This record gives sequence, C-alpha cells and structure tokens, in this order.
Amino acid sequence: MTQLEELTPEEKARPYSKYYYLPLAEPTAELKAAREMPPIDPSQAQLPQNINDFLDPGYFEVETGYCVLPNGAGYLAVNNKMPGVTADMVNWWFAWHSLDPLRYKIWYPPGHKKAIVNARARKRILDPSTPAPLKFQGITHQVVEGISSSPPAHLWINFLTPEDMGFDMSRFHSPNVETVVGGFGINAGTADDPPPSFVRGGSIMMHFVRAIPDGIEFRTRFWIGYRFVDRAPVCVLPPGIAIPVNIPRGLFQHNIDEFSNLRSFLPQIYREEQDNWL
Amino acid sequence: MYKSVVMMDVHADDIAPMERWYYRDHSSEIARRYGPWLARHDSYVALPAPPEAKDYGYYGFRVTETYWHDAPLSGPRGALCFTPPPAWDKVAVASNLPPQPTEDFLGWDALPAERACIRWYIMFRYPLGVRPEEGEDWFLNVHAPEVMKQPGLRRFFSTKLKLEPIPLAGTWSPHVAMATDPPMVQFDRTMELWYDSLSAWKNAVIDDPPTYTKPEWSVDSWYPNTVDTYPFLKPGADFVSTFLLERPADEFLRDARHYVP
Repeated sequence: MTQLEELTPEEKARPYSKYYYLPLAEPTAELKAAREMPPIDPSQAQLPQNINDFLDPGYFEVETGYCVLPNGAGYLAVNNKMPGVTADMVNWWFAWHSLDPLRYKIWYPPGHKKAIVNARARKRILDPSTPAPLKFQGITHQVVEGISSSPPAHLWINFLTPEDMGFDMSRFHSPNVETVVGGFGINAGTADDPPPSFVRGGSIMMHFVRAIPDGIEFRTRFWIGYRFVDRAPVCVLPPGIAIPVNIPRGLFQHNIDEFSNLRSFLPQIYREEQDNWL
Repeated sequence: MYKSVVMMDVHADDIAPMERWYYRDHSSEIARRYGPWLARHDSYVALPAPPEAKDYGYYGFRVTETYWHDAPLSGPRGALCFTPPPAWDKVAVASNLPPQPTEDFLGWDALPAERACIRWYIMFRYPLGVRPEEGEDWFLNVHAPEVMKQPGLRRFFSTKLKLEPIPLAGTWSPHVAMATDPPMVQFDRTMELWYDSLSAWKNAVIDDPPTYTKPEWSVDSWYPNTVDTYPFLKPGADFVSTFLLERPADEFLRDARHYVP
C-alpha cells in the first residue's frame, strides 16, 4: 500500500478530511474476483459508435472485463452496483469535488492527487441557477492521478453533455438512464512540463448510471485511443499502433478500486456537504 | 484526397548530409514507390529568417507538401525499408489535412501578377486544457479578425486538420535506431500568412502589430505552460513556423527520374 501523503493543516481542518483517513472500502466479491481476470474476447466488447445501445433495457453479454480491440484501442467495462446511492448524488459529486483538491483526494487517497477547474468553470458551478448536470458537463477537470503503480499522470478530462456524446435524447430518460458522466480525456504524461514533441493521447470515458431497486448501477466504459469529434467517436491511434493490454488492465483495476471506495461514503458525505460548495 | 505536410528543422552541421539523404534517398523512395497514390509531391526550402523568428518556433530546413489520391497501406508491401536519415532532427507532421484550406480569410481577390510574396507557414495546436470548441471559437471569431488587421498582410488562410491519423506509407527498418523524441502529429490547424518581404513580416508581427485580445488560457494560471503574448501559443511546442516562397523548389513527381530498388 502506498504511503499516504500528509495533509496540510488547512486540509486537515476541513470537515470532510476525515474521509481521507478511512480504510479503503473493499469491492464487492464479484468485482474483487474480476480484478484478476484475464482479458475478455474483443467480440464481447461494445464499441463507442453504438453508444445508444446502452439505452436498451437489460445487460450486455459482458458487463465487466477488459481487452485490446482489433483496431488497437484499449477497452474496459465495469458494472459496479451502488446500493443507497442516487443519480442526484452522482451529479453533485462530479461538480462538488472539482472545487477543492482535497475532495478528489478523499475519493481514493492512494492514487488521487488533485482535480481542479478553471475560474470560469468555478463560477458556473457556484451559480445556483446552473442545473446540476451542467455543473460538470461541458467543463474540463485538470486531474493528477496515479493508476496502478505508475507515477501520477496529468489528465485533462473534458466532460460532455449526453448530446455531445452522441446519445439519442428522445430515449435519454428514466428508466433507460438516470445520468451519464462522460467525455474524453487527454493524458499529458507524467511530466510537469511535457516536452514539445508530446503526442496527446485520448480516451473516451463513460459512467452510464441506471437505477436498480436499492440504488444505482455504474456501467463504466473506457475506450482508450478514442476522442469525441463533433459528437462522434474517433479512434486517434496511429494505424498499426496497439495499446498494451496492461494499460486497460491497470485502469480496469483502478476503476474498480476507486468507485468501490466512493460508493462506500457517497451517501454520507452527500448528507453532510450537499449545500456546502465552498 | 488528402494532404500531408512535413516541416523539418536540422542542426547546422547536419544540413549537408540531410540534403544528400533527402534528394538521393528519401524523396526518390517516396515518389518512386508511392507514385500511383500520389497527386503531388513538392518540397519547399525554408528561407533564412530574421533572428526574431526563433520566438515563433522557427523550423529552418524544408517543408514537404504531399497530396494523396488515396492512402497506401503501411508496412513493406513489396518495398524495401526507407533509407534512414543521417540525423533525427526536429520534424513536425500534419498527416491528415483536407487538400484545400477550410477558411480563406484575406487576399483571395488579388490577381496573381500583382505582387510576389513570402509565406509564413504555421502549424499550431491549442494548449493543454483548452476544449476543442473553445479553441476554435477563439481562433475563428476573435483572433483571425484581429490578425487581418496586421499592416501589410496580403494573404491569410487556414486548414483545420482531421483527427483520424492516416497510415504512413512504407516502413522504417527495424534494425535502425529511430528518433527517441517522436514528431508532433496532433496539430489542430495549419495556416499561412503572406507578406511582401521578411521586413514586412517583422513590421506586421513585431514592430507594429494590431491589438490582440488575449485568450483565456493566456491569463488564467490553471492552464500550464502557456504564453501571454502573440501568438498566445507556446513556440516550439504548440506553434511551429517557417518561411517559404510561392513556388516549390522541387516537384518530385515531375522533375526527376529515380533509381530506387
């Protein structure tokens, strides 16, 4: 286990700093076993151009797994059941946590270093008239995050509206879906000052949230090597280049770990902090 | 059809061997092997630039513009490997351009015989953290109208790249060490600004520029590694440029016969 960084006195003084020191929550038994699974057959993966299939009832053949797609892109899927969690909590969390780096740290203390937004986005989040999903959709988070044992990477996550992810909005409603947290990220590597020649890799991320009897389920997908361009997914990998399988595997395991931890305290912190934006 | 552009810079001591490699080996291998897919394969020599050009990511060797009817499959496909260059210097690549500019801002109505110009040839991308739609909004609706006020600017147009990479024709040898620093391949745009002379460029860009509106990324420290002066894109990282004449120095499909196995 990575040694946790010491919080500053100012961070320690915040009421939600207590979550930083909690033991990490375990994944469900199913996901704990899945962490060590081999890659799935790529034919069992969904493709981002078929994103509207997620609005259909039921489940895909494989809801949890990872692989490298035939075009070289990385793929991972996780279905994480979250009893006691609501879509309102999810919308609130993805806005609220971007206003203070400590909030991102408590989500997953071993790997999360900071998530911040720019001044314009901050103003929009703090505006009470902004609808809850638009407090993160259409906004970019600058993130520093360590995945697996790799040094922390600098990521720019461009959150998009469901329309800009290509969803059919005539079908984008309950019970098909409660909310979607998604967009595409740019990985700027591990250096504080990326070299001039740096090639900006991209990944499409989607957390498709659906109601289940006692809470919600997160149907997560990552397509590593893709970006959205004009509401359509585009594979930006140079032809002939394939993402090594350890990349989707590492992100798969990290996703299980970070969201298993978040689901353990999200209902409680929502009760405590939902109106405390600053 | 699509277009690819390769902008090269070389260390002064590499110019002679690079020039020999470029003519004897590389351009010949491209033209001979991929002629059936090529529509044009031209090369321009970079003009000697004023010292101030280094502040604008100046690349001082060559620009190759290639127009492709179609993309050949990558890999050997019956051909031998490319002859490696004697040095791996700086290379900036835009591999999937529409063959014609996507925006023509200024000067299209001039008659060809009116004047000769030098071309300031630029590739750029928006800084990290800038959302594509926000970068485009700044460039098209704020910056380009202000650039058009440069004194002495004769011509101004730009091309937005497509993000889908095109396979690079051919293959390098697996037995040759490649550059450790790969080329930039994900620019957002190219653009050209034309002036009567390099002195006219210096006057328009440095001595008597118009007033520019600073983009958000140049004044908000949330964006890393940005600059707050024109062109508001970090030279050498997000903005590279060179100076060319109107006419290519070489049209390889037309001008040469090649001896290439």
